[in-house]
Formats: sequence, structure tokens, C-alpha cells
Amino acid sequence: MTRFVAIFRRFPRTTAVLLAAALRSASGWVVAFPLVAALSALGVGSLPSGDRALFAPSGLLLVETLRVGELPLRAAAQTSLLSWVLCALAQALPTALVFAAFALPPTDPGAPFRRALALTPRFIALGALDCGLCALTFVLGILLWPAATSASGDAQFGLAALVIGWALLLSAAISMFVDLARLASIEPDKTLRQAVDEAALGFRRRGLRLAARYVLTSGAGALCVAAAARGTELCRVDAAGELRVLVVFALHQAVLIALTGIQAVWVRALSNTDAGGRYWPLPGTAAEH
Amino acid sequence: MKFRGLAGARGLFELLLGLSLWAAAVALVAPRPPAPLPVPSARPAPARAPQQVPLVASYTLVAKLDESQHRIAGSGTIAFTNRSSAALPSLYFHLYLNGFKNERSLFLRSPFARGRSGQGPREHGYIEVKRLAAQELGGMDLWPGRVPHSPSDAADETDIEVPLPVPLEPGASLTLDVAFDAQLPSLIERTGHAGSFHFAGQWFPKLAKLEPDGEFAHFPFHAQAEFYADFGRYDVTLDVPAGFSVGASGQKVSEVSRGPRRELRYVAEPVHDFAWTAWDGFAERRERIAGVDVTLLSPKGYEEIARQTLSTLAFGLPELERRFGAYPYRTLTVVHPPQEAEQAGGMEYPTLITTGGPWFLPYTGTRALEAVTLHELAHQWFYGLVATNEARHPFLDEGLSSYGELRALGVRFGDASLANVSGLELSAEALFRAGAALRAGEESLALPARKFSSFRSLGLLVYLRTATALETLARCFGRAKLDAALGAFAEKQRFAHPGPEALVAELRSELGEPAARAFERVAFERGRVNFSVRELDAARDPSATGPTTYVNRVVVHRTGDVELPVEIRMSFRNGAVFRERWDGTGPTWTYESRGPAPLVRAVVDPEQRVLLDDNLLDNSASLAPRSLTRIEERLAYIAALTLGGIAP
Ligand SMILES: [Zn+2]
Repeated sequence: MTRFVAIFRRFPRTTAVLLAAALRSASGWVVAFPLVAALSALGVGSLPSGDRALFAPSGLLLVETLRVGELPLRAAAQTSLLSWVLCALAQALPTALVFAAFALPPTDPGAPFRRALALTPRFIALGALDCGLCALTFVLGILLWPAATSASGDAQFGLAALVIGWALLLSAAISMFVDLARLASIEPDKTLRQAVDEAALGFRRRGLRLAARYVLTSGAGALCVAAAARGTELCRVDAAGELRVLVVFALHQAVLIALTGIQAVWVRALSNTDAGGRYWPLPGTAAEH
Repeated sequence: MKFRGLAGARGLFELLLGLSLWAAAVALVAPRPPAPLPVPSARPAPARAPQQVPLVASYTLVAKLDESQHRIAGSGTIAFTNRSSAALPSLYFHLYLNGFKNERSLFLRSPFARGRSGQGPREHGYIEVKRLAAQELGGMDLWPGRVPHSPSDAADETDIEVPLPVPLEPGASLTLDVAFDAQLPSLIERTGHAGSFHFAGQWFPKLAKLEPDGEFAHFPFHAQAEFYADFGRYDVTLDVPAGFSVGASGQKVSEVSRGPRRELRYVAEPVHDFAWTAWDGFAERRERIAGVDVTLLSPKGYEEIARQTLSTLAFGLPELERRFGAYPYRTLTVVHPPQEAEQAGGMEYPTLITTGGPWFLPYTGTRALEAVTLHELAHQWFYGLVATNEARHPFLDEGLSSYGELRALGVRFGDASLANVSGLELSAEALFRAGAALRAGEESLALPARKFSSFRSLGLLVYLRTATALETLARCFGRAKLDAALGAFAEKQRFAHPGPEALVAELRSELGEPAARAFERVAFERGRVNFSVRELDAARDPSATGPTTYVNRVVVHRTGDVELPVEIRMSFRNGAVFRERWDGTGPTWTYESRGPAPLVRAVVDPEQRVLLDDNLLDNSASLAPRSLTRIEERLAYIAALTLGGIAP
């Protein structure tokens, strides 16, 4: 234990990343639990190959499980959905941890953690704002999709790309904006309103420059997830052997840690931290505010 | 804000690098194309000479399309020969377009609401016959003497009796001069118009099928039912605007331009229907596949759709010929309607099929386009050549075409015959059997189309359960034997309008009595079956002296009335595995043994041969259930991903 504390004191930022990833991973298990319990009650464990059958090529028993277990699985999915909403709000804590660890100058090792706890309520509000705006974009995209895809001839690709492109751009812009607000709200004396105003200013001033960095970091995240998906496919968990599950588990945990690390890099870019440990808004821009 | 100097260059670099990372990520998870087809061995293309088939009803028509009014002015002659054994007091004509004439037609008032599409027409359509004059009767117009509505349905005008002044003796012929106006509805049930797209199916007055006993197989047009007709020669001249591409049944024999119009003459023989399409938005592609001149008409810009459709035909045509006999026509026209006309999609006509789906379908990792293409292609045999009564026995055409589709998809794509999305492989068998199980035992497969309680029931039973039953026979009694039976049915019954007894006879002769009986139970008697492991015990024998002995016991149940042979596999703790066979007769099968190892698991039908089984989850029992670590890990990971997203 003392050893752990010592490591943590030496590498507070690494510890913060690992802890945030672990919190996210644990939330995943909470969300999955009702569905797994329902599958277990349906007798999936008694199938000749256990839950390997659900991954088997052809999907015969996967489709059958969904058909036979439709009602219990529906009920479980509703519970999972509720857990998902609660866990999504709770992600404010790991997010706050990453912001506190990477946007603030590294001083007292315990500071990020204390700060993260204090920030969590604000981050819950901002997370809800993020989700709400992105959901709105998503709904807008769904509404526009039939019109975009009904086009005939050569216009089709262009229209669909326009809808997808705008939806992606809009949600990326929303995420960037909310992250700027998160950053601004780190200062304890600022109200949420002030933080949002400051984010708007930052967005106008640095939006384009940040967008390039956003594309880069999100691209790195997407590549991690996609590579892990390919790796998982190659591991073939439909075959026997618990080692496969372990390898896949390790791969997936590595992805979650990498995604948190990428988030940290992004927060550093946002906060524009320089060697002196100053963070955005830099004195110059703050004066103009 | 502009990029400036070093900072700007760096931003641009980051943007480009980020976009490449995204592209790499998408490329990693994008659906991968299936393995390329083996190069087909050089094989002489089968002769495409028209077959000598006694013709009953032949049509020589000129159809002029008014593209702004969506109306067809038709005229010409119908040559009819009484090849039955009885004199005919009347003729029966199907005026299918009148199914869309008003809300009182059987089609539109049917409680099953507008059949397949679930939508009525925005604009009605109808056919008005102006003249039906018999040359052999001095040019007498028979049409005024018709019964103006369908028999026993005063509100419907799709099944019209035309009494003859003198009965038509067996062997005698009539030549009827006909003139009619066909108003196409807005697209409904594969027929009609959407903008300048026109599809003309069932667009002319069509003689009902004359059965050998002299009865006409006539019926009012019902939303759940399709068609039935005699073979004949169709010689149709289409007069369309010059800028329109045309696809039609049969072979184009001439084309003449007349100012703003174009006249194309098509001949199809021997066939029992003629459909055509005209649109100024088609891109036209021609390819010779297995000796057949294939024309593909798809919307301009649907490049990937066109590529996939042609590659599916290149595989499907020889594959289905191998199974069901040579395709005897010189041409095949494939029409992919645009999205606004999607109701024209997924339909079969002689030598012309329609597929369908949005332009992005090929990028989804599903095989929906291949499936619809192979299904409609299989109809060239089951409907086209083996011309069964679709209204009376829809399972003979839809069921067998669905089975042809299932097998061809399986041969082409293996376990991922329906979808391969991010490594999740789904087979058509998995989905077909699950759909079939939803209506197990509820209605007979062999019902007439209109007798099904809903179109959904018809779909699940006629399409999916028929195919699932046949696949079950293949897995339980031998695939080669089932292939032989269906091949014999398709070859022997070509042009013969068979009933279901001919199919059962082939199953009986190739697969044996138990297989034929099982099929009859499913098809005609609402038969179903469920195997389950009900009891599994492994108890220490207290009376045994010496080394520990276990009394092991398994009871397998069969419920339902379909008897099929199965295997039972029992696994013991020491790793030993026993296999036993049960012929599937009787309600239970019991196993009891004593030995040094306890039983841990028992499975009935471990290789999942009985796809008709009502529930596959109760086929196994275990005294040591496995933990669900695989699915738990995967679900937790997916949940964790969605909780934070992949962007920072
Ligand atoms: Zn069909």
C-alpha cells in the first residue's frame, strides 16, 4: 500500500489516467450486468459450448437466444439502459480527474483528486449539456437521412456525406465547446455561466486550431478502437480456451487506458500548458475578455 | 481565422494526420468483400433455343406510354386455344390493375391492408377494356356481354367472366382483337409510376389459367396473392419517349426511332407473363453470363449496386442452373428501381426480375442485395418454368425460391450468408429458422395466399418455414438426396403447372418415407417439433462396493407431431463422450448407465440438423454450467466505449 502511495506520489498524472480508465471500465461492467444475468437465466451457460455459442459463426444460437429470450432480455436491457444513464452521468468523475490532473500545474500530488471531487457536480451539468446537444444533432441527422438517401443519380453520395459530415462536425464542435467550458470551470471562483461564456470566446478565437487537434486525437482514438476490434476478431473467442478471453480482456482494457490517455493529451492541448505550467486562458486573452 | 506561418502548417499537418488515422480506422472495420469466386471451369453454355411447349394464350400487343398521364394505350390480339378436355361456355379475364381502382376493390378493402407494402396508392389505377372482338365470330365484340364484376363480389372488378355465344370446343382456337387503356397507379405492389419512373406489371387484360378439366383458375386480386397463367408467345411493341430506357420480358427484336418517340419490339416465348419498365433515369449495363444476355437497369450513379448485382448473377445463374436445370431463354433483364419506386423492387416476371435497396446497401456488410437478387433469380424456375398456381399454393413458388436463395447464399458466403459486420457473422439459416419458429404450427404452409391470417404470417410460413423445412430434410436425410429431389421436381415439372403432390412424390422417392412424411406434416398439417433434454442425473450409487460408481440418466423429450432422427451426445467428467441415435419416434428417449464417471452434459441434436426445432436453447442440459465470461467481457467493453465515446 505504501509502495502504491509512493508510486502515485511520483506519477500522479499516470495514476489519474489509470484510475479514470478503471472507473470507466467498471461502469461498463455495471451496465452489462443485468443483460448477463438474463442470459445466464436463459440457460446460455448450459449450452454445449457455453457462451462461446453466442460468438459462433452463423449466429444460429445468438439469434435463437434473442428470439427465445426476447422478453427477459428486453427487461434486462431497460435496467441496463437506466444503469447506462446513471453511469454516463457518473463519468463526470473520471473526466474531472483527467481535467484536474492535466489542466492544472502539477503541484501537490493529491490536488487533482481533491479538485476532481469538487468539480464533479459541475462536470455532471456540462456532461448533460454535451449529451443533450449531441442527441439533438443525432435526431436532426435521423430526420434528414431519408431525404439525403432518397436522391437518385450522382447526387446521392454528396447528400449523404453532407448529412453525415455536418452531424459529425456539429457534434465535434459541441464536444470541443463543452470541453472548453469544462476547462474554464476548473477555476473555483467561476460560475458555470461565466465558464460557458469563456468557452464561447475561446471557441471563436481558437476553434479552427483546436479542430485540427481534435481530428488528430479523435483519429488516434478511432484507430485504437478499430485495431482492437480487428485484434478481437483474430482472437476468435468462439473457440475454446480461456486464454483467448484474457487476451481480449487485456486488449480492451488497453484501449480504455489509451482512450483516457488521448483525452489527457487533448486536455493539455486545450489548456495550452507551457513549460511554466500556466494554463489557458493565457494572460493576454484573459485581458481581452 | 486563418492558418498562419509555422502554427498554421502544424495545424494543417495535424488535420491531415488525423484524417488519415480516421481513414485507417474505417478501413480496419469496414466490411470485407467475400473471397473471390473460383474461376468457373469452361462449360458449354446450354442451348437457349425456345422450348416446344403447347401454347394456350398468346398476346400480340402494341403499348403506347403517355408518360405525363402515366397511361398505356394498348391494342392487339390475343390468340387462345382450348387445350382442356371440355367445351368452354365462357372465358375469364383477370383485370389486375382494377385492384387499385377504388377503395372498394378486394385488394384495397382487404382487412390485411394493402398486402406486402402496407400502403395504399396515392393515385388510383385501373384498366378499361374497350373492345374484345372475336375474329372467328365475325368480329363480334364480346366485352359488352361480360359480367361487370368478380363472381360473388359486386364491388371488385379484377376477375371478369366473358360468356361466349357458342361454347369453344376442345382443340378450337379464338383470335380476339383487343383494345384497352391502362392507367398506372402511383407505385403500389410492384406496379405503377413514381415521377417519370414507370413499371408496368399486370397491365393488360389477361386470360385466367385454363386447367386440364376445362375450369379456369380465376380469382379476384387479393393483397396477399400473386398470379397464375398459361404459357404463350408474347410479342409486344412498346412506344415510349425517346429519352427513356426500357427493360422488358423477352428479347428485343427491333427498335425504331420516330422523332420524339421510340418503338421497341420484344418477343418472349414460352412464358406466362410480360412486364416492362421505362424511365429516363436508368443506366444500362449489358453482360453475357453463362451464355445469357443480361441487361441490368439501375439508377444512374448506383455503381456499387450494379457491380454487386452483376457479380451475384455471375455466380447465381450457373449455380441455380446446376440445381434446377438449364435456363432456357436467351435474355435476362434485371431492374433495380430507384428509392422513390422501391415498391417496384423484389419481384419476378418471366426473364425479368426486379431487385432493390438504397444505394448504400453494399456498404452495410449485409447480403440483402445478393439475397433479393438470388431469390428473384430462383423464381425463374419456381414460378417462371415450374409455373405453379401462386394464389392457390404460394409455398411452391415462394418457398422453393427462398430455399434456392438460402442455398445459393450459403454456397457463396458460408456462415456469413446474411451479414458480416465487424466480425459478427450471421447466416440466412439462423434468421430463416428463427422467423419460421415465430409461427410454428399456427397455419398450414400449403394454404391459399388469401387464407393466411396476415401477410406477416404468410411471409414467415410460406417463405421462411418452407425453406427451413427443406433445409432440415437436407441436414437430417442427406443434402445430395434433397438436391436430387428438388432438381428432379424442377426438371420434370417444367411448363407443367404442378401441384404440391408432385413435390412430395420427389421427396418420397429420393429421401424416403420418413422424410416425405415429416414434410407433409409441416406443410399440410401445421406440424411442429421440439426436442429437449428434460432430465439429467448423475448420482453416486450407494449400494456399489469397491470404486465409486455413478448412476447416470438422461431423458430426452420430443413434443409435436413431426418425427425426425436425431443424435444425442453425452459428456462425462472424465472426458468420455458417448453418442447415440434416436429415430425420433415416440415421445421420449431414455439413457441409463452405471460407470466410474458422472455425466456432466447432454445435448440432443448437437449439430443442429433439425432447424425446425421450436426451441434450440432447451436442447442441452448441464450439471456444470459454464460461466459467461466471454459475453460479459464483451458487453462490458462495449458499454464502457459508449459511455465515453471514442473522441476525446
Ligand atoms: Zn418471391
